[in-house]
Amino acid sequence: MRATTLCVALSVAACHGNIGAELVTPPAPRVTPAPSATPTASPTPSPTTPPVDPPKPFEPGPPVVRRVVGAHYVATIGTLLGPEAAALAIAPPDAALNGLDAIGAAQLALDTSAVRAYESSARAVAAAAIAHGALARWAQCRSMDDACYGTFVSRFARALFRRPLEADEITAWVAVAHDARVATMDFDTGLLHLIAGLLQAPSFLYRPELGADDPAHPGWKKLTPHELATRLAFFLTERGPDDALLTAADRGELETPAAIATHVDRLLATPEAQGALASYYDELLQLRDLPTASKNAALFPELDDALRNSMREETQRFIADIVWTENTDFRRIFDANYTFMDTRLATLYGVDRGLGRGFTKVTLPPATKRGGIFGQASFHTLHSHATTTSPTLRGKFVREVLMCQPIRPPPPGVVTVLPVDPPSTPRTTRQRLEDAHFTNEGCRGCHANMDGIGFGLENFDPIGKFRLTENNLPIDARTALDGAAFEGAAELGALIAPMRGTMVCAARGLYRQAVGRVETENEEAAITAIVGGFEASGWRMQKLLAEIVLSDGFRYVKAE
Amino acid sequence: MSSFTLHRRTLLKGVLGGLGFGLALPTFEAMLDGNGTAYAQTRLPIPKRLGIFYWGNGVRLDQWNPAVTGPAWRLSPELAPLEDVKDYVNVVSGYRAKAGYGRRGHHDGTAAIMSGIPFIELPHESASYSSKFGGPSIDQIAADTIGASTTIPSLQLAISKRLIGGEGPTLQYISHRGPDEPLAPEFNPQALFDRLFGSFTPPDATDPTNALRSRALDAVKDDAARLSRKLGVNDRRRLDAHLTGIAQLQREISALPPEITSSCTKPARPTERNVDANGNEPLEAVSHLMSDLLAMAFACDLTRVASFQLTGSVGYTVYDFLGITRGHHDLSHEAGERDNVHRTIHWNMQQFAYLCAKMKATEEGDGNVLDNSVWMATSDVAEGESHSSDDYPIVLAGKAGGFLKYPGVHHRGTNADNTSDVLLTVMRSIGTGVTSVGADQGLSTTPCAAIEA
Repeated sequence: MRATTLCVALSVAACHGNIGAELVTPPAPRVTPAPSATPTASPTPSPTTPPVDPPKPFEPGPPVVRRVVGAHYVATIGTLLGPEAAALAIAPPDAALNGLDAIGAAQLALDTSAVRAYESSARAVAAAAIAHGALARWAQCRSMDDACYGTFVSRFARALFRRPLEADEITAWVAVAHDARVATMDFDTGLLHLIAGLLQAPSFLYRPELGADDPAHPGWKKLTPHELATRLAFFLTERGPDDALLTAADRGELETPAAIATHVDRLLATPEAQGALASYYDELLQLRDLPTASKNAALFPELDDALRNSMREETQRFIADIVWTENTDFRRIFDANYTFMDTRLATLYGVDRGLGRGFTKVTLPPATKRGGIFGQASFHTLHSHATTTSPTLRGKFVREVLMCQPIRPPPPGVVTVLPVDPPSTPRTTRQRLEDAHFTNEGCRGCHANMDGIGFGLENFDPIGKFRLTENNLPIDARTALDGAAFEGAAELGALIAPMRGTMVCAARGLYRQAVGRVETENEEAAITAIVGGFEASGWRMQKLLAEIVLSDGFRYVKAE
Repeated sequence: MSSFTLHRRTLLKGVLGGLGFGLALPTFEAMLDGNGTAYAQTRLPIPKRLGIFYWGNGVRLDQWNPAVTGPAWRLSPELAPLEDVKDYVNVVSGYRAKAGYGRRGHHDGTAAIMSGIPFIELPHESASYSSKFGGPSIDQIAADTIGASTTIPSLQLAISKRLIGGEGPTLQYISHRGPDEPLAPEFNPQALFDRLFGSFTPPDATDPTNALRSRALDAVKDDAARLSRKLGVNDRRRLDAHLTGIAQLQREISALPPEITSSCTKPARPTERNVDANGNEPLEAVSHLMSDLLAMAFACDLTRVASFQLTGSVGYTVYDFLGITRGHHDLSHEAGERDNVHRTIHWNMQQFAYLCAKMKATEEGDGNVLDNSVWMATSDVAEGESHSSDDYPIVLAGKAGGFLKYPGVHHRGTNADNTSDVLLTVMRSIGTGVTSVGADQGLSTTPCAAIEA
C-alpha cells in the first residue's frame, strides 16, 4: 500500500505473520536474529513462540489458468509480428493480488472493458503487421486463397497458442478469413480479421497449466510438454516459447530435468531473460510507479520526468550488473558500495561531477552513507510522502517486500492521526513519529519494526537528496534493526545482506511469479530445496531462476 | 419492474455483409405517451436509474451530519453544495457498515457499502495483503435487472487515477460482479463518448467492417468453448465472464443509431482525455464532462446504471487546485490538515451537486431525469482519520419515480442500524424486485422505511 497508516493505540502488537508460527511477536525485548535454516522462522523469536512444525513432504499446488499479463502480451506480439505491431499492442490493465500481477492474472476474470481493449488492440496490431510485411515469415503463398490462410494459421497460431492446432480449429479460423475476403473482395482484409480474431482467442490470452496424469506420482499431475514450455518461456523470457522450445515440446523432449536445463541455460543467455527479470523488479520494487509518484513540485522542482526515469534506470542497471554482468552474489543489492549514475543523479546525490553521457558505474564514498538499493533515490522517492519522508513507509517496504514480514493493519476505531505541531516549535519527522508512535506501547509494537528502520535513512529527503537538517533541526539517523545499531543506507544494507531470510524472501517472490500463486504449506519443501541450490551457488540469481524452473513445484500440479 | 426485461420497442433488423443482427433502439421522447410518464407504444413507465457516487477517505462527521433530523433538516457545511437540489436529498446518518466490520479499515467499508457482503481476505502469512469483494456490488444486481434490456447494462466511471493497486480489487474498484470479477472503470471522457455515442453515426450500409468484427468474435467464442471444456468450475466462471464481455461488445458493435430528439441529443465529442498536466490531474473538467455524458446516456436510455468513482479508497489524489500538496490519504491522517480535509470533501460534494443538477436539468416526460433516478453518494470509511465504519455517510439524491421521500429528510439511526438497510431501500426504489441485500453481518431484509415515501 502506497499510503501509510500512522499510529495504533491498542495492545497486543502482533505484527508479523509467519507460516507455522503463531502470530505473536512481543514488541520488546528484541534480539538479533541468528541465521536460521528454517526459512519461515520469525525474525524476532521469543521464548513463547511455539516450535515450527516439522517440514511437510512436498505436494504440488493447485492447477491454474493464467491470463497473459500486459507486458507478456506486448512482448509476444513483438516477437511474432514485429516492433511496429507491438507499438500498437495495448492490453487492459493488470490487477495485482498478494502484491503480484501474476497472481491476479491467475484469479481475476476479464470484463467488458478488457474485451473491448483487446479487440481494438488486435485490429490495430493486425493492420500494422500487414502494412509492415511482418507476415512473410509465416507464409509464402503462390496464390492468395484459403489454402494460404490455412498455411498461415497452422504456423502463426501454433506460435501464438503455444501448441499445434487441431484440423477443425484451422478450418474454423480459415473460415473467418474466407468470409471477410468474400465480403470485401480483398485478401488482406481476410488476413486482418483472421489475425485480429486469433489475437483475441482465449487460446492466446490464457495459459491453462492443468497437467496430465503421471503414473509415477498418483495424485499429482505433470505439466504437459507444451504447458511446461509455456510456463518456462513466460517466466524466463516474458513471452511465449520460441520455435526451439515448441519443437522440443512437440517431440516430447521436455520430460527430464536435464532436457529442461538445456533450454534454461540457452534462454538465460538471451536479452529477453534480462528483460524479464527487469520487469519483475520493476513491479516488485514499484519502480514503474516512479513516473506518477506524488511530490510537491514547489519543494522539489528538480524532480521532472527525466530525473524520475534516471532513478528507475539506476536501480535497473544496478540489479542487471549484479545478476548479468558480474553474475555475483545477489546479496550485493543490499550492500554494494557502488551504483550507476548519470549527470542528473550525480547532481542530486552531490557527488563528483564530470560524468560523461549516459550512466557510469560510480564507487560511493562512505560519507555519502549510500550503498545498495537503500541508498538509491528510487527507494527514497517511492516510499515517502509528497512533502516529507516517511520512515514508516520505508520500513514497511523493507519488512514486507524485502523480508517477507507483513505488518498488521491498525485495528479499527483507534486514533490514527498525527497531532499538530505548533509553528513556534517545529520538530523533525523522527521526533513527531517517536512522540506519536513510541510513547504508547501498543503503537510501538508494530511501528518500532517499521519506523526504526526508516529513522536510519532520515538523511535522505523525499526524493533521495542528502540532508543534515530538517526544519533547521539536526537529523539523528542513529537507530537499530532488530537490536543491531546502524546509521544510513550502507550500514542498513550491511546488516540485512547476511540475513538468510531476505534471500528466502527473494526466492519466494520469484517462485510466486513463476507459478502464479502464493505457495501452499505443502510447497515449502520445494522452496527449501530451491533456496538450498541458490545458497550453494553463492546466491547467484541466475542459479535461482534455474532452480525454480527445475523444481517439482514448477513442473507438477495437484490432481483435482 | 422485472417485466421491463422485454425490449420496449420494435426490434430492428439489419443486414450487413450477409450477416444479420438486430438490437433495441434507445429511447426517444417522441415515443413517450401524452402524459409524459410512460412510453407510448408499450405504456410501460419511464425507466428508473441507479447511480453510485463514491469518493475515498470519508468525511469529517462534525462537518457532514446535519444538526436537525426529520423534514426540517438543514444543510451542513459539507452538504452545502447540494442547495439547489436539496428537496431531492435524503440524508441517512447513524448507521454502521456491518459487513466485515472492524476487519481492516477501508476494505470493510468499501465492500459493506457497495455490496453488504463481507470482503474476502487472501492468504498473506508472508505475502502482501490483498482482498476481494465477497459478492456482487448492488449496481451489478441492478444491471442484471433494470439494466438488462439496455445497450449497456451498466457503466463504470472514474475520475482520479491516484488509486491503490497493491491491496487487491477491493480498494481499486467499486463495481464487482463477484469476487473474481472486478469491473474496471473508464477514466477518459473522450473514450466514454466514443463508446456511448459512436452508434449515433449511422454505419455505411456498404461497409461490412462491423459485421466482420462480430464474425471474428464468433470464432473467438468457439475457441473459448473449446478451452472451457477442460476447466474446473472457478476457471470456467472466469471464462464465462469473458464470454459475457464478448457478447456485450458484439451488442454494442451492432447497436443502431437512435433518433435525435430534444431530450436525447448527440453531445460534442470532448477533447479531454484525463491526461495530467505538470503532474496535476484535470479533476474538475473530467468530473463535469463525465456528468454531462452520463446525463445524456440516461436520457437516451443507453444505460440505466452507473458507478462514479470520484476518488479512490485510500486514494492519494492531490487537490492541487485547492492549494493542497499532500496526497489525500496522508492528508486525512494529519490533525493539522483537518481544515484542508474539510475543503476537499466540500469540493467532492460540489462535484456531486453538479452531477445532480445535470440530471435535474435533463428533461424527460413532464419531469426530469433526477425525478426517475436515485444517486447514492458515499465513501469507503466514515472518517478517514480513524478508518471508522460507524455513523456512515450516506446521501440519496433523486425521487426514484416517487419511491423516496420528497422533499427529503434527514434520518438518523442508532449505531445498531445496518447500512445494508439503506442499500435495500435503494434496490427497492428502482424496482429491482430484490428483497434482501448483503450477507452475514451485512445481511438486511429490512429497508430503511424512514426515507421511503
